Amino acid sequence: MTRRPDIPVFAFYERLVMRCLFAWLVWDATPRALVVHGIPAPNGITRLVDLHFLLDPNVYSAMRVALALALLFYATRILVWLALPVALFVHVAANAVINSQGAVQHSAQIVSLVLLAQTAAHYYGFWQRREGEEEALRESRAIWWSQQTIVAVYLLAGIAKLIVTKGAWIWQVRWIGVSIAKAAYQTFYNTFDHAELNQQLRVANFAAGHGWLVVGIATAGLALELGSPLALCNRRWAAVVGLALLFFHLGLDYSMRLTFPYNRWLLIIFLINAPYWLATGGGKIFRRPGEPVTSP
Amino acid sequence: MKLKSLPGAALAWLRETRCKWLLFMVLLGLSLRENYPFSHYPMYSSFSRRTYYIYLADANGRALRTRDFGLSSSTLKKIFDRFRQKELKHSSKSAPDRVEKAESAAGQALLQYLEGLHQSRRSVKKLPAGAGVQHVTVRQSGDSLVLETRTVARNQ
Repeated sequence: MTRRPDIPVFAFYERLVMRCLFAWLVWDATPRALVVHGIPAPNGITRLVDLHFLLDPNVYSAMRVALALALLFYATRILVWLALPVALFVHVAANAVINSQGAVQHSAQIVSLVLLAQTAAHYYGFWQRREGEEEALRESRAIWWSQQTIVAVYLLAGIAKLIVTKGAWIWQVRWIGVSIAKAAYQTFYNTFDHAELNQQLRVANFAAGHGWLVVGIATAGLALELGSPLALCNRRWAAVVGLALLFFHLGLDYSMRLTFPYNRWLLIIFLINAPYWLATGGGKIFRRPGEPVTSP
Repeated sequence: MKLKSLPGAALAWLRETRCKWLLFMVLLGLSLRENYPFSHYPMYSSFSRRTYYIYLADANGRALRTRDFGLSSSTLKKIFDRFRQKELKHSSKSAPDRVEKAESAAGQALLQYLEGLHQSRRSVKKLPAGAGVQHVTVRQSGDSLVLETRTVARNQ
């Protein structure tokens, strides 16, 4: 007898688009080369596993080939049980080495976590299959856990703000102009782009002079982070919260040059899920009068 | 609702909720903190009236493009900060100029790190002789932003 667990079911075309885009994202979020000087400050997995072998350019090139094959297999649903752990290891190990230089970066982290969620969901699915679950549900669970992982990242960011400042974050945020100026100069010394520096300094000075307006805007941002679990209610909420978080990132990019490209792509792929809305909206437009509404 | 029934209700909710993976990830993030791939996302979780950044400059004080030396400015600052924290941990709290000394030592350690990066990757530029680490304090005074620059270390 088959059981139906309480997880949303995604249509074939949704799963296909998500798989292909996510495979591309993992590939893009894995460093092309490890331009590092040893592993001076081990972080995360590098504390558990000696990853010095990755510093050999020939070994790393071979790992990149293994990653490419694993992602190809993942996208085509061939040997997924092998493809996912291989992709997870190469992607996490390479980024862990980058993060073991004494400076922790949060750019590719969310991609690693979603990959971890998909691997865990796949193996959990094996166990559930023994309990009588439908085979087709395994990939929908991987997507459902990916959505929960993305939401967890935003929820954690909101909780951290309250824990670190003992709730005083909203009070402190009126000094954000100082941080915007710092980010502006840091970006400038990467690129020497004077026009961009001037634009960012205008934002920093505006923030310094309008502290209470900044408090209002930042409070809305914090509420969005803490309210992100609403995205898990249904598809509509996922799209609404996904779009709101995407605009939140666009605002951060404009004001502080904090681009977070992988966060944005994950929101687009797993929460906003445009193919579903195009298919259902398109269906509505092309449906003959009187024909019943069906959703994939 | 009776207070003593709360744990039971919470457990029942935990058993029933569809979002167990969300809770699991949140708990992992909070407990493992900064351990790749996990994080509790502490960036911009607090603000103060003052902060700082660093940049590289040649012997004449002209700024050098950080990317040429294999890093971004924000990574450069984080590495400097790690060396600075390490030095501060080893210095006596009563020493009058402990912060200046720690920043000077951190600046030297950073210059050595950049030299090592150049040695291991020839695509990364070598720092010119006399290049230095510039430390810029950014602070808010009233409605204005004020910047103060000083050199903390110089390449020999």
